[in-house]
Amino acid sequence: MMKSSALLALAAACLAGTAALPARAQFEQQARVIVKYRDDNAPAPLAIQTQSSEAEAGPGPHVMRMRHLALRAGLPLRSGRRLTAQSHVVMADGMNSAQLAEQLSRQPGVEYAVADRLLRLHAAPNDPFYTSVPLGSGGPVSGQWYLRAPTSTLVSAINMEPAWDISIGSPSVVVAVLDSGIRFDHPDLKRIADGGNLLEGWDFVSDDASDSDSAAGRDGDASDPGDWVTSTDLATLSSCAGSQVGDSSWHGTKTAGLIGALTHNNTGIASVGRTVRILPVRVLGKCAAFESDLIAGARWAAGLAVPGVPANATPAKVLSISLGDTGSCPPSFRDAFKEIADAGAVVVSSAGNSTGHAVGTPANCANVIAVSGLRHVGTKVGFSDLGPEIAISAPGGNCVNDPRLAPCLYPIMTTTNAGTTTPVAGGTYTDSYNPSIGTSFSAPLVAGSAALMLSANPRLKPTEVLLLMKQSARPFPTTGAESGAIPRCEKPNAAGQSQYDQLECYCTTTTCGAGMLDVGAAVQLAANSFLPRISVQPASPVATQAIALSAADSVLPAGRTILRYQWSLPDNGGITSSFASGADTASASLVPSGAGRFTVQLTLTNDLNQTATSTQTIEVAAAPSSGGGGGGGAVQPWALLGLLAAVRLLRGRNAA
Amino acid sequence: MAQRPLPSSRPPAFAGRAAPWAGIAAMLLSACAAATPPRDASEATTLRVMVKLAQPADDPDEVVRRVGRASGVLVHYQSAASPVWHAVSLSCPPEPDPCAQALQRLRRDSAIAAVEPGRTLAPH
Repeated sequence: MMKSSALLALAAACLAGTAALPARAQFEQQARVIVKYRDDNAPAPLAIQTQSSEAEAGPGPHVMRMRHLALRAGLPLRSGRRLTAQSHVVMADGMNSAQLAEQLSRQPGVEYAVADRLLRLHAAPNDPFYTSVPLGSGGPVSGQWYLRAPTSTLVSAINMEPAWDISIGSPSVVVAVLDSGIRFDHPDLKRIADGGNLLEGWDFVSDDASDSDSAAGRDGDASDPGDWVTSTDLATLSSCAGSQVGDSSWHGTKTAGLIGALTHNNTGIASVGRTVRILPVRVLGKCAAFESDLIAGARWAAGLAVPGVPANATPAKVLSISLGDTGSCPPSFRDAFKEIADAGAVVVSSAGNSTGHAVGTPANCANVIAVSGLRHVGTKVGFSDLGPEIAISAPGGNCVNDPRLAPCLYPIMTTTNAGTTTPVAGGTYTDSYNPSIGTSFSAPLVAGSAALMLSANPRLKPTEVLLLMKQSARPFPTTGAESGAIPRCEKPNAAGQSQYDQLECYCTTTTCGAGMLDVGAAVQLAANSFLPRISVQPASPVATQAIALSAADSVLPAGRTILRYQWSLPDNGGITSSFASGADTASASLVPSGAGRFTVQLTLTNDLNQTATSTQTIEVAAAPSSGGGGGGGAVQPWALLGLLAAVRLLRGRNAA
Repeated sequence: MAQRPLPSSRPPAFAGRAAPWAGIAAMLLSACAAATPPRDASEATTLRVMVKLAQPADDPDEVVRRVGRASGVLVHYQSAASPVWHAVSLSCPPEPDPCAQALQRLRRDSAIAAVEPGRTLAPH
């Protein structure tokens, strides 16, 4: 009875807890799992009470097994539909399906427990522009075509719905949008306090002359005051050299809307990230952003220090940058993006719109996911730049018609403001007559995808997000362009060298990245990723000293366990020949005989007999000269002296 | 961000040297320059650059001091990108290749780890 009461109390607590959650959060807090029991003898009935969601004429064997399972796992389980003699649906509140599957998989008698994805919602969001917008309302008739499942017409659509079945985004995943700021008053955006996804962010525009806000220098207001350009601006602002007179762009509101517009709210558009948080980082004043402001904003977004700016309390896991310049990656960017990657953040940047020329910077920097733009039919869109630096491609919007003469057919619909200079109240959306097209809009689709992958699996590192995104990408089409003979994309010459324009062309993996973004497949891979990780201690190994290798940080699919570990040395570098210990356990060790490098390989086998392998090359430095000779094995004389000193220190402290 | 000028009259040989009197001289010259703009300021060519300091600095005055000492020209602080990377403007005297010598001095100075031209990034 005690156990029964405890279970019921726990169930009640879970139900009470979820009652206060918003609908989207509840969706993540109601677990449905298919459990298959091992084919052994059914347990004896237990005198405990459990909740059941279906009428039962006396508990069947699967219900009895579930009761045992609930007791062992300490979870308030409910029995759902019976599937076979050995399997049925099990439900619980207060956790998501992946968490429940993981816990139940560990229980004896369970052959497997997997999330019941077939029985979960596979419905399109109810945002009206998701499916179609009548031309009389501005269009496009294709609506948010780029988010839907790919078809023979919408070849490059990014396939959101299977991804949303796994995750609609975690509020703990923050995406920084480094852009012109944001309109907090847009009804499809909003601050968190008002029911939206927007954090407060920061304004990094340091040049007051090109900044239309009233505050001097950098400040805590990331709202977009408008970036309209006058003829006076052209004559006086260094940031406006080569620009044109124009209305405010609301560029940051547009890019942010693609990642985090409120979704399934019966209003406007759906976004990729749905419930991820958006951190607006304003770096773009009139015409252009200064490199120093972009670096400062990016560092701050990732939680790194920037002089004169308070620390960021909500560091971003993903940074979205839809700005750039021509030329190679400068050292300042290289430094910044290396530090940001080391801090664990994914950086996504647009390739540029120079009509098929070399990828701009920062997209061409290491540790940045460069994104080129696709037409709806999957060919490279004419304006997009391309090259070997591109990691992946995503829709960039294309009109088919001349948008000055006829409605744009396949733009990237997003949030904006109607003000031509300063903002006007409320918000509106881009459409067929005011279309959003550009690689600026390809990058946020990828950034939002990375955020969903991290929502599904928060343990992924930036390099793993990129790897899985590439692995899940769909191949580029080689036929099917709307008009005549379309050439194959060619690698452009480096910036500064002569380059002909490359309009629409058939993408290759050396010009447009690994393929077309498929968020459904990417999030599925992320949620079920099986990634062996090799940890090395010490981080900077030295010859003749023991090196400890560990597989403990490896990433497993939810509910799976490791059956076998296998360490090997595909390249011993002539400095090590075998493992001193643990060649088939979670930890191994070896002692390199000299300086150099060797490669270690880890192969894991899980309880579904799936294997995954990872290799790592380890650099070994020469041993410091001891000056005393001797000192065999893994322990050097100076290390012994250090140990002795530490022991003395501890003894001294204890004596005091 | 306030602009903090430094004199441009310092000879190149002085750049990067940690002579005992250097700090005092820099302070004096700095104070003098703050009160009296250089005679050729109206003709100066301004070049925005990103400098990477060999040692981090958070204080704009300190950054201006180090870059001014290394470049030998008037320096205006623009903004911090990180504790080591800062944007500054060099005010160089009119010459056929403005700021070329200042940049050369910056690149040679051990207090400066790297220099690159400032750039702007346009929305895509």
